[in-house]
Amino acid sequence: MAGKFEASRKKKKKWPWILGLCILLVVLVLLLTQCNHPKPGIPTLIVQTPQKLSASATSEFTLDVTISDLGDARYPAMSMCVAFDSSRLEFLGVEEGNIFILSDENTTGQQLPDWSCNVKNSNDTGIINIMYLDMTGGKNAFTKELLADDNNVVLRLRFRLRGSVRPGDILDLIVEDAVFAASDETQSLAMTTGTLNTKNGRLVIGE
Amino acid sequence: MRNNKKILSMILAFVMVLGLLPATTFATEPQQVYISASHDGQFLKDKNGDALAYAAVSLDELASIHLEDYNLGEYAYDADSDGNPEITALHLYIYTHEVLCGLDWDDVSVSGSPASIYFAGGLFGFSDENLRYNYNGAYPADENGWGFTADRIVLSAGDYFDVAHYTDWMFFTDSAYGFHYFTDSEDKITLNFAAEAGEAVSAKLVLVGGGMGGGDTTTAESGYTVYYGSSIGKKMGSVTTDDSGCATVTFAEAGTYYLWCDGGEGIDNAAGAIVSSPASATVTVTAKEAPAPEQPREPQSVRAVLNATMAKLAATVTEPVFGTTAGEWTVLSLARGDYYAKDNAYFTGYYDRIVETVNTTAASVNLSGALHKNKSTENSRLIVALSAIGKTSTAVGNWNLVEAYSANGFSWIKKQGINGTIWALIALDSANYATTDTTIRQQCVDSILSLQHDDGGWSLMANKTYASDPDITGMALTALYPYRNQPEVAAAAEEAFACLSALQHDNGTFASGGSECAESCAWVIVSTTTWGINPDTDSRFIKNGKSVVDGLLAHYLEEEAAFQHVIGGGSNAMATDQSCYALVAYDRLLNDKTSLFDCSDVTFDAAPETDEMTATLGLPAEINAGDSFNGVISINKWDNEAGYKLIDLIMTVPEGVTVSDVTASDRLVGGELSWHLEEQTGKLRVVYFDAIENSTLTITGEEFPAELFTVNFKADNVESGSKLSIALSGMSVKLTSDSGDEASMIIVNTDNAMGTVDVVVGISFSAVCLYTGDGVDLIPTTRKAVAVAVTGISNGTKLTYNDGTNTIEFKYSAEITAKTGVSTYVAMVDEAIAMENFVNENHFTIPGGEAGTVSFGDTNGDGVLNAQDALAVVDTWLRKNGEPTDDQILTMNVNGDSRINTFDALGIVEKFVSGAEYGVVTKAATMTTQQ
Repeated sequence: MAGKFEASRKKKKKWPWILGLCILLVVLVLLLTQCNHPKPGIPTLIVQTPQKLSASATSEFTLDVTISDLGDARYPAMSMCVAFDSSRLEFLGVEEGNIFILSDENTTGQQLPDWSCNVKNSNDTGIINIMYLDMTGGKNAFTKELLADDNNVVLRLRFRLRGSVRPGDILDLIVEDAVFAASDETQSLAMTTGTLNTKNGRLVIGE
Repeated sequence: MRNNKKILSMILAFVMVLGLLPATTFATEPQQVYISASHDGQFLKDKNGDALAYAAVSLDELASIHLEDYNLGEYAYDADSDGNPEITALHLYIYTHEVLCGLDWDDVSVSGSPASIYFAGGLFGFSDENLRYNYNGAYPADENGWGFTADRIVLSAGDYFDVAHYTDWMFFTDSAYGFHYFTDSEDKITLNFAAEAGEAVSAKLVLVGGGMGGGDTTTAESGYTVYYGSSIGKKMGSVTTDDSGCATVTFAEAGTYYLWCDGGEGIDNAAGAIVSSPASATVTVTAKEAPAPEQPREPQSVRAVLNATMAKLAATVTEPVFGTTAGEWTVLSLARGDYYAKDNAYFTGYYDRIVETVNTTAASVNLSGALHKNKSTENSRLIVALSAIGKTSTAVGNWNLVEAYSANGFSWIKKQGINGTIWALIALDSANYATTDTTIRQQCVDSILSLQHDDGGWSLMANKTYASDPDITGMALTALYPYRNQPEVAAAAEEAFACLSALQHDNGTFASGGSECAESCAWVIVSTTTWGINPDTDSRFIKNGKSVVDGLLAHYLEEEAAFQHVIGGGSNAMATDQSCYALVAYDRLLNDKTSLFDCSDVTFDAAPETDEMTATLGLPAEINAGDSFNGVISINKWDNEAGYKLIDLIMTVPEGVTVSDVTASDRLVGGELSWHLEEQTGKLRVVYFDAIENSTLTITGEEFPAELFTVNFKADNVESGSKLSIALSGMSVKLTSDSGDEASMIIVNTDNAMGTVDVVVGISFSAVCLYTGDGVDLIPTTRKAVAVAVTGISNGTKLTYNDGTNTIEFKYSAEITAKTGVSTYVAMVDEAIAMENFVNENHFTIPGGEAGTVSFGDTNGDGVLNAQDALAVVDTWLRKNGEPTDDQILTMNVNGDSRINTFDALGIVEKFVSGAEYGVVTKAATMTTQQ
């Protein structure tokens, strides 16, 4: 009897441990979930997700790549890598956004960045690499001052669905790397340093 | 008379001053007072025989005198009622009497009540008491004119007394009576003047009279004799005071000197009677301080301005042609400034246009290669530009531009006056051209010398009465430099540089025709740098801290990257051209390069360029049996406009070697690749074309040789110690499929497209120098990049070089390794280390562990290539960042040339967006290695 009683006590003592483990698991799950969400207060680069697309649609469409905010620095260079399924999606090129860059004193009107991109290479590899580089080192940079709610499109990605696409397909556009580069690297907004959030785009294919 | 005598005795006894004292400017020891005493205008002697002239007495010494000891206790004076008697002039009197003069106080008879003390006998007694004294240069009296007696004058540090005794009892009635003093420039009595050796001392002699119930009067003593010497009475000389009473004396050497004068005779009293005191002052002369050596001025770098200006010129003058604008001067700047390599299309295109122009123009002028019947400078200007890009002027198209000077003679050269002769010399000496008429050069030299102005300069006009012009003077100096060994030239140059120095304005600039302008500054810079003179640091060309380089840069418009002719006048093409090559000249001086027009450093084309297309084959020097390795096939030129449709080639592959794969370069666009290895014959056949659309083949990018194909070999069945000979046995580029049309096919020269790979056992080293810095853009001439290929080693294993002097950790390059198929490491090393050192296995250790790695283009080493890396190169080239480290040079110089610039930034962009291979990787795979 005494032995049973002891065993029962021991059994009862396990409960707090199990409960603790459960709480720990919940916390870990919450933490991991939180990590996958944009960190607050950090600018976010977003590949906008469009409405559901029809598998039979043959027309070209563009996806805006927007930025929620910029820091106080000048950003003379910007680059991004976007992975996509080139077997079902054809990349057609980069189009201008609506965020101006700083202009030279001698330039009339406002300037948009001149993006470098290789369409063929992008479709061959399934990775779109896009870069803007201000060769003046800052005179034609991105700045916060030229960013507004209605002027937050960094660039636009033009695509067309390939014939191989089927209803129900989900085509993700994954931002693998992105950076708004400042001369002082500590002021750069970069995925690699956690100073730039990104949000992937997703194409949902309907009938 | 007796009354007067009594009054004077009273003056002695009732000596004055308590209260405010006149300020003095002489330097005093903090705790000393001074006393002087004279009789009939001559200082008394102390016990040592020295003049009693402002003898210093310590207040501490005076404090040790107790009046009670002299039975004078009743004269003790406690002015502030603190219970402690003050030190008074009575103490000073006792001290002077006993200590300074060695007299017995018992000889002094003291009488009178406190504040009315009276002395008789002793030092100041003489046989009577007809004397007076001043305290701190003035009569010490109360508001009623009554003087204070010695026992009531409280002494402070710095006080001074003058006691003057006269034989003439009526001395005080004479209008010339008084005390002499020296005053400084502020009319303050000064007992000690100071000066540097060699510096004039001006002391004003004044006579302070009056007092004793009336106010003091001060008058300047003009025409008075003042003596000077090493001690009073020991005269070195004398001077007479001027109208303002000033005596001016200069002492050549450091030391302590004295100024003094005797007392003067009266005017009104008996003839010869002395009625004024002597004066004295010391003069402390310090050694003249050698001027502090000027801090050597550090020569400023102009590279940022020069780069920007050259970039602007290159962007503005995209296709230079024959002419003074948008032509030779731009080419000169960009070539001598090393903006483009000599074989760049910018220069080759220019040369092609020049050939056409010369053929047309010289034929039209028809004067043995002259490009103008009157202007020899047309030839000279072009020759200078051609020398700068390594093109001979003896065979430009169908003409010999140099022969024109000999054929048309000196008369043709001098038709443009001094300009013609100057530029003929500069042109002929730019590449040391021989002339048929060997007297031409000396005729030019003599002519230039004959036109030199008296002030050492030159002007455009033969008439020497014209003002010397800095532009022409600078040009003449530049032309004369190769003849500097002629004494006349050396002398003329010396005078000319002195002239230029004199012509420089206070802001560092020079003016021509009355206007300060960039061109004048430019030519002073060109001439000085030609003669090895740094125009930014040589004191002759610095005025008010502004050098002529500063003067030139003041004309620079940063926002336009251009120069103004005159400040405020806006940018100007000629000013920009001349300023740019002046900055090139200065930059070359700083970097120890030959001068602007001395093109002896330029490699001239030995023969006319061939139109032949040539292929090369890059192979590793060594492999191990069983290794895989790559052969890289490149081509020297390509015309994207030619419409090439197909490339084919045949390669001989040695027995025992198989081909795993053949790939086309990313730069080759428009076709698809097919290949086959015929094992029986060892012939690898490769064809590249667009079988479906018959597209034109193009090569992207500007760099040549350009890689076409990479062949991946596997040495399966080869023996160690054997040599594998691999060669292109044929290669062609076709425009059409019509084999009957000769023009449809270009046979590519494959004579040099071969190589040998040694099959070695185990670890072996081969090396190649990827590049050496040229000192222009961020890579010093003392550093070179070396790639070492190592067989028999696991990829990425740590590799250390040590030759006993240098220890170098090599970095593993996965990119080059992948390209060549052999483990390859790179490092920046001292340029002086011979390449053979890097193939000596005794210099290497493989300690185990992983080597550091280099990833070309990843400038921040974060493992990700992106905009941050490209921007870092731009910022580094713009000099926003510091000098790059060796590791940064390795990662930034992605095109593998001798400098870090925007081409590297573009290389990173192309790599990022298109995956284009870096030039440095291609270079490593195609260069001949050291084994």
